[in-house]
Amino acid sequence: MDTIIQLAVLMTGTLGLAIPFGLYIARMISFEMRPLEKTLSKVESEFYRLVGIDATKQMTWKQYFFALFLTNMVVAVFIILILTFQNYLPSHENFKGLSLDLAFNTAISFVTDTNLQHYAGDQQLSNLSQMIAITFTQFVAPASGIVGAFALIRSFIRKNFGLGNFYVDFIRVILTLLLPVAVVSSLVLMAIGVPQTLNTTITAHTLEGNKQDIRVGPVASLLAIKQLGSNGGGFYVANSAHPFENPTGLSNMYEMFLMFVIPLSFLIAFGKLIGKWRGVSILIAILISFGSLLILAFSANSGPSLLETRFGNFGSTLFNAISITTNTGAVNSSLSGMSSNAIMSFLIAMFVQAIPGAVGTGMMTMIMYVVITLFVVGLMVGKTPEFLSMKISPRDVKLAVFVFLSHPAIILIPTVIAFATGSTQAIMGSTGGTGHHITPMGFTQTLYEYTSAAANNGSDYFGTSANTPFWNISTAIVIFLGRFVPIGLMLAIAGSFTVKDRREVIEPIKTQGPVFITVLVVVTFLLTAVTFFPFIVIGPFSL
Amino acid sequence: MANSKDGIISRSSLREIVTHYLSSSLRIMLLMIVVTGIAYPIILVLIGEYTLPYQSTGSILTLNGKIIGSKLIAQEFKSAKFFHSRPPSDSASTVDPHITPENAFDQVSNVSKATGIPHNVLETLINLNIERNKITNGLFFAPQYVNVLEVNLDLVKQYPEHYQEFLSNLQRR
Repeated sequence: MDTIIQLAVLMTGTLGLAIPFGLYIARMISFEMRPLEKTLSKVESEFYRLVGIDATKQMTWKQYFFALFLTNMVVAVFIILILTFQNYLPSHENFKGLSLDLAFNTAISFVTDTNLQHYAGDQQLSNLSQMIAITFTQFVAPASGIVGAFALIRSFIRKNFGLGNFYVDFIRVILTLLLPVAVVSSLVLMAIGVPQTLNTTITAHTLEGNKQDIRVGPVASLLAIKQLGSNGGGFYVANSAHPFENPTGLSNMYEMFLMFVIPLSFLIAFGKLIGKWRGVSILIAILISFGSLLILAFSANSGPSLLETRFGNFGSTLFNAISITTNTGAVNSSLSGMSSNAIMSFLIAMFVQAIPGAVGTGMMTMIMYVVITLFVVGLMVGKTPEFLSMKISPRDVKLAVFVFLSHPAIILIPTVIAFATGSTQAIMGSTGGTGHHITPMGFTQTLYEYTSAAANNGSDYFGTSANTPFWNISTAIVIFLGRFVPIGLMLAIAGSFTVKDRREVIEPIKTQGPVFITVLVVVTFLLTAVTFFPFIVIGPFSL
Repeated sequence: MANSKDGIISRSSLREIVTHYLSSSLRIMLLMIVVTGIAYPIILVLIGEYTLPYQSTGSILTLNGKIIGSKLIAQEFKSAKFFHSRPPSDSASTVDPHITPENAFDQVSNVSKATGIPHNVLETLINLNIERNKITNGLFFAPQYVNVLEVNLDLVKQYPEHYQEFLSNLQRR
């Protein structure tokens, strides 16, 4: 009974919130009046002035991508410097600087919205690092994904509507979407029991007379944006399993809301701008797929070992499912405590990356599947594929297919390399494999590591045990390619669509309604199954 | 920029574009560090200090004015007079402060034997804790559980005569 209520509250709550959020996001995309428009635009223009940009200047897709990429790289360099030299900064509280390869991994991981963590935040980062390296980047990364989706959606609105200006979008998304929600959410989470202080340690003398050092810090402000922005990198090494990062069932529910709301809102925004039933149709396709993944995840019991008592099987599996389908990557239990069916469901979610996927990039990936689906169906019925009355050119299809194919390539190649070089065996010992013999456990955990990296998810089995130069550098490369190749190619598609002629005729293949929903779901799952089936069989299926 | 129409951008104008973008990216970064990395967390720390002093500092529990731990962080109990937490290696966080009701009720006879506190008193304390947690969780949002430290603290406060050695130990700190 309780479980049904939790699921009902979650779904009605997030879908209910997605409507106002989606309509607001639509206004941001099309530059219509928002609530408090006068105040907001006054603040924004002050920022434009300080940054020194001309807000009216439209960017081409290349300029847009270049500005996005450059900003991300500048931030990555900044994080590397902060983390490597944190011991020279004020109030470093005796935390040492991180090694260069670990700092490099962390910088690439956080600036790309991945948040794979090979470090233990509570034991290795000062409060200042948690604020200016981690919390700050957790705004930059989702904002970059969201503005990418803005540019892509704009290319469909009407011919030469323009893709927008990266810097303008970036500032607007942080100041008028992420920050206000993060502030309110921090307060909610603080009321539930999440600490928010500049102290680092509580020293207690336990009832039995032992000394206990308890790490605290500015946790709530990090947690709120970690959940809201599909980031997933925790203040504590135990992530949302740590009682300070998720004190009760209420915080668990609220954190699920935060992860789900923006990815779902994008479908509403898409519907508002491109056609109501088109958005709703894709939303239904996503909900059907999400429901199937939930059924798979719940088909076997997880825990009770390596789960937290206050969440149990249901609260842990549901939280992790939402976190991984949205590519947030936060977890409220250890992955080793999850059933192999749940792990299978998580891997499928990360292979697809669009159920509903991360903020912004989930939407972009979904559009990639729509383009491929229209192409496949077009071949079957012998019609030129069109999207929104625009011809899909061979180049668009090639780019979309390349986005799709890059994903398995950057997962499977490094997985093989990790075994060939003995790197899995080096950190897992004989549980991972010995010599030429590889265990299903070793394969699953290695496949999971690179899938999580490529999907910019960030959940993993290895944690700090993967803090070796091989894992730090190899996952960073996979993360980098998994982020910027798809964003770059999807922006190239945006550049091609924005100048296309549109004819208002009946679509040869409808992009809404039950038939389209069915075809989209089937094509997406078939493509994923054909690509990854063998690896699921020798991995989690054999556990 | 005149020749950019032909798709050829001269080297100097390329440099101009790059420096323009680089300066915008750097400035936007510095601004956002101040806004989201410094102002945002610190303002929340200040709000927390005034409006949520208990939660924002880590839900600290005290006994006779001494800090004995946080309500949300498990501590080790070895004495038979106390209820025991989960073994750290068994939970995801290693500091899970809670146990299941079944686990708590299973421990009742041990605690009762060591302290002399009757079974039904211990069971009532556990049930009260379960009820309190249920309300904290909005009735439906978590399975039933027992906070080990809270129950043990209740025991020490209500039956100081049985816990003299721990209380005097605490006084000496």
